[in-house]
Amino acid sequence: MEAIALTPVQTAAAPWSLRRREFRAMGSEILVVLAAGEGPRSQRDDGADPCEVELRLAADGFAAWEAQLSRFRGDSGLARLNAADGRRTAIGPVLWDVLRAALDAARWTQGLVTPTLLAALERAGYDRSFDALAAVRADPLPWPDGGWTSAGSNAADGPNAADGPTAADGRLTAAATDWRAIRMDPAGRTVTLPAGMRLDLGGSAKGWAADQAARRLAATAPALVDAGGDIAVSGPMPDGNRWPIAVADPRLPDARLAVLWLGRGGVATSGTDVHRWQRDGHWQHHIIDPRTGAPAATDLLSATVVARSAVEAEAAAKAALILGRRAGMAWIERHPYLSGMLVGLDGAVHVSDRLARHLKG
Amino acid sequence: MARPASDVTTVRPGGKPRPGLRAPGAPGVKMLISSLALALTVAGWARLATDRQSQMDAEPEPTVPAPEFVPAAEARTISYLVAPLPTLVPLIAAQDASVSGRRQAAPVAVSAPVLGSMRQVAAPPPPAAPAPVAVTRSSR
Repeated sequence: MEAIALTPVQTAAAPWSLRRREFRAMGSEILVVLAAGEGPRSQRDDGADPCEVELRLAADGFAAWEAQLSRFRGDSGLARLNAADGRRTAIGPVLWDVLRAALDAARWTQGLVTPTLLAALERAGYDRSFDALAAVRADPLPWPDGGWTSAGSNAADGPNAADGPTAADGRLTAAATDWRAIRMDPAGRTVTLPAGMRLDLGGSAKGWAADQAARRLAATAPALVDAGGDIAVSGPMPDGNRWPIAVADPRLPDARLAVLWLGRGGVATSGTDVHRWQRDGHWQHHIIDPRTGAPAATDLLSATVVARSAVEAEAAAKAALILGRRAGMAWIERHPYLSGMLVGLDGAVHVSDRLARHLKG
Repeated sequence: MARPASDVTTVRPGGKPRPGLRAPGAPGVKMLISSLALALTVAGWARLATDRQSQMDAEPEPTVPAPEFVPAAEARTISYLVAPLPTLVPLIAAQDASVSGRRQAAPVAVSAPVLGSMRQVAAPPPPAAPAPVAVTRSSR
């Protein structure tokens, strides 16, 4: 897809414009934006526009990362690690970095956000990509009356019962989900998973990718990278202004809850408003609570968090959603570099004290 | 054709009007003249009033000039640009301590100059917020 130049913004210093490229990767819509100057187009020997080149490289980068990190691709590095069944496995640098970021998130959220829940995800019905799920279910979906309920012991009898160690009630044992049991050897870049453990990096991969892309693009111009709603910003725009980022309203399609202004860092939203389905009479969604091994029984529709990076925002948003309104807001407030907006199942919107700094341009 | 006798007033010098005929004496003429004069006066005033009303109907009512809006770049708050009114300067002659009987000069009211054009500046609408560059939402 060709990069599209938006309306040039004239300043006293030098004109510049937003150059953007949109594509699909990692099961999501990806947007890459460069706030680039309007000066001489080419500083390359081949005469190509540096911005066009960088935007294309960003798209190539996402494709390469997905090839290593997707659990839906049989030849990905993650799929090979999951198939190792307890054997020590050498992995590539991309998977190594993302796995380290995922384990950092697990440590920081005290296990609420962990990469070890693939079996639980499959048991809940998330056994294929979002694209494939969208093709199966019928839209529009009604909302669950009375909130989310766990699939309970019936889940193990479903057609997509998980493999691996399970307890009598169908839930996974703690050993199979304990992220602290993962062994990483930096010398050989090898990883050893406990028997029965399989990983899903959906809680960290997009945020990590957005951060990586923004960092690389910053060498050319201030950049914003939106990986399926997990957004990384490398720095202010050339006029010194922060980037205006809308927060989607989970209660209304195509509506906006607010506009946040971000100069550097990340913002992410975790929610149950999009991917949800019914199984055995119980509503399911893709945010698994590791304490139950089932979709989180939360009173929140969505959680949006601003943090120092996109991967941090992604983990924080998911943790807040799992914790629910009261505990989630308290957890956000305890971290001075976090600010958030929570939308309840009752439609009420709750904003943390520190979010005010991001609500003004 | 002979005029009807009732229309003829025959007055013989020193004589009395002939019976049967309306022979106006002095009081009757005076009354007639007074009536005619009164009627003419009333008619005249009525016509004058009518003419005046017609004239007024023809003239458009004076209207307050529409306020002139100043471009946003020049003003941000409502302001009225009005020439300051001069202060009244009473011309009062000093009065002697002793009563001299000199009349105190009456203060002279200075007529206010014609006000300059009044420009009412409305607050400009706030500048449109820039469109968001991206939207954060649940994964889709």
